[in-house]
Amino acid sequence: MAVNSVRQFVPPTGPTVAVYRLADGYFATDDRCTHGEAELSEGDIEGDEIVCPFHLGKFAIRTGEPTAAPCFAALRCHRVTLAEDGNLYLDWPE
Amino acid sequence: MSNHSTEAFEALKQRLPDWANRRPIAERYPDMDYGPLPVTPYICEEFFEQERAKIFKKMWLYVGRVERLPKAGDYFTQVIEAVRVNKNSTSPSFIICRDNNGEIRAFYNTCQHRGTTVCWNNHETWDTANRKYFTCRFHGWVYNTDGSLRSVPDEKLFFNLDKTTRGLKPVHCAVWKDFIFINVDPSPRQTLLEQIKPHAEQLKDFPFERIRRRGIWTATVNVNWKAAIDAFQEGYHVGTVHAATLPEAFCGSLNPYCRPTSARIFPQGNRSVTFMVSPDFTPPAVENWVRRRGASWYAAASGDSGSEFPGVNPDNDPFYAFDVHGVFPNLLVDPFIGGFYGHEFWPISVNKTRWIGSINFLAPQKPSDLIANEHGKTLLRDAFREDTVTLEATQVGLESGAIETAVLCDMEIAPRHLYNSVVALVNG
Repeated sequence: MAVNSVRQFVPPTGPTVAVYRLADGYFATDDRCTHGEAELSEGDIEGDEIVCPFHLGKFAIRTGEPTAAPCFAALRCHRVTLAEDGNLYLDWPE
Repeated sequence: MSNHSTEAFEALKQRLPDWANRRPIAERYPDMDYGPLPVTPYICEEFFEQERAKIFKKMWLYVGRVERLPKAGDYFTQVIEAVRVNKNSTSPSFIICRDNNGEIRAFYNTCQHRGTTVCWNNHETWDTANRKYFTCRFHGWVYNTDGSLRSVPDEKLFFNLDKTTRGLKPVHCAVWKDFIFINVDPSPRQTLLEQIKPHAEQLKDFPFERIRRRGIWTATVNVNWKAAIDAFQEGYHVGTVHAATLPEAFCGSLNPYCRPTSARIFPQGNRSVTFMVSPDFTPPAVENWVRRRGASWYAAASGDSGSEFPGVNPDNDPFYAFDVHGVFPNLLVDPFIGGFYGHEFWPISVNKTRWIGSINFLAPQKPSDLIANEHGKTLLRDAFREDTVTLEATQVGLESGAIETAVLCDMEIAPRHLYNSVVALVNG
């Protein structure tokens, strides 16, 4: 993944996940916007925020907190780790 | 080019029409009525309403070139006054886009929630924007680029909302050689290719797909749309109107009045006219310099039809300069060896028209092409401005009550055919 990019990950169970790469590491949140039905993995990254492609609401990628209307509920965050084998691993409790 | 003594020149000269003794266009089309034309169709509001109903709301209208929509999600908007529902209705806006599957589509730019305009781009800037989705700014309804309704905020509060029936309202859209047309008639009476057939056949191999826009200009002018077109589709005015920019390029000893060397009329208002370069013309030094380096505003006159630009000069006329293709109802496409000029004429009211002119060249192959293109663009820009200068003065006179009919000469065949065709459709 390039720096400042996002891609969708489909886990074996549960909702899809948006995986982000920022300059200082990898992050992951639920992919579904808490306002509408958008997939945030289709959005654009501005700084350390993801911009929803539907209504231009924003979330902080590191914390999942909403940072711009019309988004008011936080995203669930997931831990993602870059392993020595070069693969990314997602903590997935379900 | 100005060597008048060679055998080749004499041979070309012999192929010119015998203007001294004949009216060559009327001889080619003897069945046409060459009488005076009543001015009513240029000034009558009721006639204009009939034109809107029977022509603009029924026919394919050119809205832009595919080159404006290179990527999925690219779109532009266009307001088309001539297709408004009623005489005093606000004019509708349209979205023309490339959807995520690469298909060119067109929709009314109207949210199917409560009718708000979805995309607010200024249609006169020719900007191309890009969106993954079209989102209405009012309540946030979201449409896919294929027009289907994707998402409705708080959807569960609606009553039996069937999202599959609430997509953006499509309009018929068709593309011919990168020219995008739309048709607001829910059941068009003919296909685009049927409507533009004579031009599509003549220019089927012209490399429009490799040609790129280099300049575009617009003016909203107080003139009837047909009178506006007329100023761009005859050569009779060239010696006077273009005295400042092109005084000798088209008028000279062989052709003092810029007569067309040939003209063709086709069904449904379509027509084409061919113009020559005066062999007396010696381009200024700077023009010669750029012309050796790339395409300027016309190719050097040689009688060569231009193997790279098949379809120009349909009658293989000598001293060829360019053709004017009158694509009914409101488009002129003027191909030449090196590119084409385009003119759109959008009726706003019976005496107000938005003109959009462009110059387009074969995509540059080397830096010097850009220099030559720029020269051609600048010279043509000034000539286009000259073409618009007389328009309002014409309309003032047409509405003055001081002229009941216009009289047109042999070389004004294109205005005459446009007029006759519009009148036939309105009265038909």
